[in-house]
Amino acid sequence: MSLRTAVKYIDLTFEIKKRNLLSEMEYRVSFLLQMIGMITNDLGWLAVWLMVFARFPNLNGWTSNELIIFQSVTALAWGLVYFFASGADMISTYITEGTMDHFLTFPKNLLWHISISETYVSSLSDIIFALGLFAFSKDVSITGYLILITVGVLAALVAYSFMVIANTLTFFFGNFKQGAWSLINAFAHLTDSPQSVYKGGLKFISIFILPAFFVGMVPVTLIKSFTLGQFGLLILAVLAILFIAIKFFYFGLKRYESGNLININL
Amino acid sequence: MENELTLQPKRFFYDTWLLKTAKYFEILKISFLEEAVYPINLATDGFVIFINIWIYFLLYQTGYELTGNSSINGLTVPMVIWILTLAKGLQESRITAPQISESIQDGTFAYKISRPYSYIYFMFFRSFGQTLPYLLANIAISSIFCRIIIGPLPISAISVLAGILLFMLGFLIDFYISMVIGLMALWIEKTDSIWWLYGKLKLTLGGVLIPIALLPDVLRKIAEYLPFSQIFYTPVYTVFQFQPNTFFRYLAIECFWVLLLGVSAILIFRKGMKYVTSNGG
Repeated sequence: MSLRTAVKYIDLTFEIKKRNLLSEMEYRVSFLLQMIGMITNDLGWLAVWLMVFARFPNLNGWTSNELIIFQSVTALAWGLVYFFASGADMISTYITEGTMDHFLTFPKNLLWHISISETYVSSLSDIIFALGLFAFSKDVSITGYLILITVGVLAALVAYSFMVIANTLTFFFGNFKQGAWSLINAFAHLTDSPQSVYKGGLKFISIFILPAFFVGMVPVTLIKSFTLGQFGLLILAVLAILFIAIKFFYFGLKRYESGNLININL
Repeated sequence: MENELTLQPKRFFYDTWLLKTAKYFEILKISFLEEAVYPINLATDGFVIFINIWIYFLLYQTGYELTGNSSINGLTVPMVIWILTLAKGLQESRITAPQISESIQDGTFAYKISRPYSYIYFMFFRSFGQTLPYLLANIAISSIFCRIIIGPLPISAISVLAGILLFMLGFLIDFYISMVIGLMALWIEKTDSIWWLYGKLKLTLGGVLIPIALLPDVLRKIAEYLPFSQIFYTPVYTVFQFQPNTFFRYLAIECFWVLLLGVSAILIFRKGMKYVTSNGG
């Protein structure tokens, strides 16, 4: 892909997101409720983990400070995924219902188009929450924020890739909507819990099967003490997972069967 | 002849009642089969529970070890894992919650309420039918994994029956809350954030992530009376820690919430009907 094409795709992505956002803002009460609801949701989640840490103040080196950094990274990563690419979560539905035809008729990249077609505006609250929460960390600084944003974007790419892989399995299993949801749920649980307690088989799973370590532990370690070696490792992992996700999606696409439905999209 | 005539209204009543009931059980059966026909989905759900048991086990084992406690408020690590895992198993089996708001958004709600059945009964039996295969599979999977990883805990037939009764009432509480949130789509269009919030409340004050008994005292007392802990935590806790007094207290709390939320759901449903417009074609 040339640089010009990449810029075109980025431009188009922001244009689509802008229109989706404006369309959601038309329903002001609903929009505000979604935003406030999500912030409350995030605060509630943080409160629960703070309660766990109040009961167990130190979990293998992780204290409430590491928890705050961890929650900032994961909220930022999931917020970015659900704002920019939540359409990836619909792949399973499109396959099961045979309704992917609409996207197949467009000249743009299929996976990109499906991914950006949906926008969870409430995920903007996740992003705001993440950036706000990090201010309460002991490691807060301008450099800290720059690292947080960088590793947050990389963690988002890992989460997005896993979402694509889980949904793509539907090509092979037929109706796998609930299964894909469960797999993403398992991945989310691994990214939500304090990863300092993971050991043995669970650590292996979190690195190689459900790559939650690259959304939690590695970014937290980088924010705490940045090293080029670990940063390079994270980038390599992101590239590998993204490559597998894209290749797997197009490999599965060969099995797609149209539902021959006629839809009018206004 | 006279006898036949006098019996007719009674027979008519029973026939109609049977037909009405049979209709809803048919909905339950179809919904059950719809989900049970895809065993891969059930297996994946089992995998989620397996991952959860593992996380809980390592989290609470590490926590208990590092704080040097073998029991907190009467709960040991095996008890915590059993309670959380089964509560999680019950929670994972819920797949129908957002269906009402989705049907309002895509317009199928207007079609469904005009069908010859009660929409509330229809949704209840559909929800129960869809939940049942996951529920059975999740309880089996949770129990097997917990038994292997943690070992068995003493339970009795009475404690299991008491737990089932509380679970059924808890299911009603969850259904009515889901119904109220789902119907809110008639006024505020999108209810996603409220779903997420409700989900988190079930996880937190519902005792799915941290047992209510491990919460700070004030919060524990509040959580015990809220509806969220009645859905998963209370039934499972009763199975492992059955005490008649506690059971009857939970039963009274659940009955209160079932009545309050049931009446609220019906009133909101009736009020919401005024906002529904149905176009032919």
